[in-house]
Amino acid sequence: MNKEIISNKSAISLIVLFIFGSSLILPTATDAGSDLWISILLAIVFTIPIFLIYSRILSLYPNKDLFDILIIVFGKWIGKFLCLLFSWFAFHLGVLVLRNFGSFIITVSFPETPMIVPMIFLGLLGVWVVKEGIEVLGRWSWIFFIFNAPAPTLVTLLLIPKMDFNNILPLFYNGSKAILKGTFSAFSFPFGEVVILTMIFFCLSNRKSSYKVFLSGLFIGGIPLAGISLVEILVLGPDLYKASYFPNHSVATKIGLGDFLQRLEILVLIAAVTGGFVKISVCLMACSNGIAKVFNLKDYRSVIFPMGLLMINFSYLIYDNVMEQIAWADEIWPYYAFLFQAILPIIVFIIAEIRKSSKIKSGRNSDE
Amino acid sequence: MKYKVTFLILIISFSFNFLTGCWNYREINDFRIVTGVAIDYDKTNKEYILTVEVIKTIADENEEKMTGETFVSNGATIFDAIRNTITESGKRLYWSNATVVIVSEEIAKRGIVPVLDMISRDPEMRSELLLLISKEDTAREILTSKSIAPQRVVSYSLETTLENEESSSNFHRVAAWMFIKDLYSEVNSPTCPGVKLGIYDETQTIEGTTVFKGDKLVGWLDKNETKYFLWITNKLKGGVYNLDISHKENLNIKELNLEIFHNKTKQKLKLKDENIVIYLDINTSGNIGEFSGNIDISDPDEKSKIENIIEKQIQRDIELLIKKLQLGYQSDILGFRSIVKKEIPDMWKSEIKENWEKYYSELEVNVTVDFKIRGSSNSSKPIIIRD
Repeated sequence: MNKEIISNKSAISLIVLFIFGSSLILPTATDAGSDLWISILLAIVFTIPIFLIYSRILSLYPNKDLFDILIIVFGKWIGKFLCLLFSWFAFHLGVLVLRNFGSFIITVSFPETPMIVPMIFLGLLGVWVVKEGIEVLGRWSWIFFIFNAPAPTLVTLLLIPKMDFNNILPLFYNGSKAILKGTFSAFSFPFGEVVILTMIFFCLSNRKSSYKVFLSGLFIGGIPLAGISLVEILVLGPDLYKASYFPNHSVATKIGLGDFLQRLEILVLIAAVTGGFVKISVCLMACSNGIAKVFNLKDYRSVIFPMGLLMINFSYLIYDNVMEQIAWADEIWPYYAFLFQAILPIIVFIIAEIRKSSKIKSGRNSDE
Repeated sequence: MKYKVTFLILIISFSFNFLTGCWNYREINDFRIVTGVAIDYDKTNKEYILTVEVIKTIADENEEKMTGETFVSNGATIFDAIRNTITESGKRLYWSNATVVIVSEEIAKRGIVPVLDMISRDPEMRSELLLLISKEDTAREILTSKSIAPQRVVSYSLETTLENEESSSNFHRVAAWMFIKDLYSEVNSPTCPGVKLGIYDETQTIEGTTVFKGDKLVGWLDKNETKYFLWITNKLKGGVYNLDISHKENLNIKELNLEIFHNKTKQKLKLKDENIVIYLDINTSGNIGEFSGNIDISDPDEKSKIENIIEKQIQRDIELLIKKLQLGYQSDILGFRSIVKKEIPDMWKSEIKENWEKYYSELEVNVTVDFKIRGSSNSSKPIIIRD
């Protein structure tokens, strides 16, 4: 078995950067219009029970990841089938994130560079860091968590003169239905995606730490995210927010403090790319781990390279253009992802609880 | 170990050579840096005429000077015209440093959306570009006119003027993205400043505000009306206000000029038996900038008398402007819709939104002005003539 252990600190920063990853560049909860920051806050509240379920599943079987647990709980055949499904989800999410970053980078900064170029670089770096193991990735994300933390704060402070509170008033203008719709899409992107991390957290330092890691990750990542969305709405207004593919970037281009503090969008770009890198690496690690578990491989490292290359290829081919990408993210993704983010984990949780308690009743002879 | 270190050094030195810069780097002397652009429309040939100002450096004996240089090109669409500039200038244009876009009045009257679309879509152009509408026959005249020293680049001097809005308040600067935002919004109508050539010299003067209805220009506010516009929308930061008191002959004042320091306008809405009434509560303070007449301003009674006159004057002029916009242009650049939406969202959604034009023309606006003279600069008394 793996002997890798990551500290709570690195695990939390992994979750935070994972949440920040692509939500720093793409809009979320656009259905709610000017109330989308309320939607995101609500989504955080609704995510708490789901994250408690994730943590409970992990703490029931310490030092095991979701794939091990699936096989233990459902038996060999159904368990392996579910493993395959979850690996596909991780793979697919990795592909989408890679594609998002490819199109983001070529749209905002390198319009004449072929899209595959930034994607190859990001993908190969991801392969490298995953080969080095989760400890390295965890420590790396801790460093970049600290490095990136000032960027959103600075951007927010510098945008204060451009804010207009009429953009968010009146509150609840679009009605509660729109807010709930926004909440749903904010849950599926980005909070629910954290389910990928349960697939690699075989390495938490102790039994109780999963609760702490997931919940503090949610708050440290989610509340700034709601704040940034609020800033975006305050500056751009709901209509322009919806009309731009990458609202956070376009909000950062509005910074202008005299002649010297300008063009700070590069800060946002760095924060987004580092977050996206973590997201891609985590997805790659999760799907390689799942494939390894399904085919009884000794170590997931042997499949990282082929999976990484497949990911790059697939992300290049998956959409024809950026319009298709946004339509998919808006209309299909929330429902598709909900299966993996909430329904399946809840089933796993219920069955695992039943198994555990019946085991305790029949005596703790075979436990652990 | 030794082998590893050599290998590392080799890799690093390779990276230095091959990983510098971007995919398709361009040297700075391969392109021309655009500072501003003027867009006209030729009706007879049905094409856009683009005048682009680029930076030109002249090496003098002892210093290097920067001046502007203009190129003209044309094309069926604006993007076409941009690409056609290559044949004129010989090099590709670099747009990221452009600061102003001057649009001819004719394009503004036909609809300004093509211009805005180009600005917001092209990644090389920053949406921070400042918009101006030319009051002359063409926009081109502005860019090719003489520039104000010390900045010899017309676009840069226009930008500097626009940034000093606070001290004149004759215009209100608008970046392209804000204009687009107002177009998108269901409760705002966009405005932008105008530019013309001066009467006494050939340099550019920025003054006045356009009135847009949809994306079409329907009229102009002059520089005084612009001040009232800023007053109503709570954007007034300073500037000089000239009181027109020639018609009040019994006052012993010949000339009165105020320097505005601070202004706060509160916009409120009340329903008076189903009728919407908007209350504008204006609180302004300022200095007496120029004064000639026969009143002792250090006397509190006289001071409050003058304050009263000023308040009445401001109130009358603001009411006039509102009537002009309501009935004349029928354009809501003052943003009364956003107050309605903010204060009574349910009624706005169910009823007013659809019939806004009708509601707007009947809208009752109640203006109250409170003006405080904070001081009178250096002199306590007017210069009195005692022959």
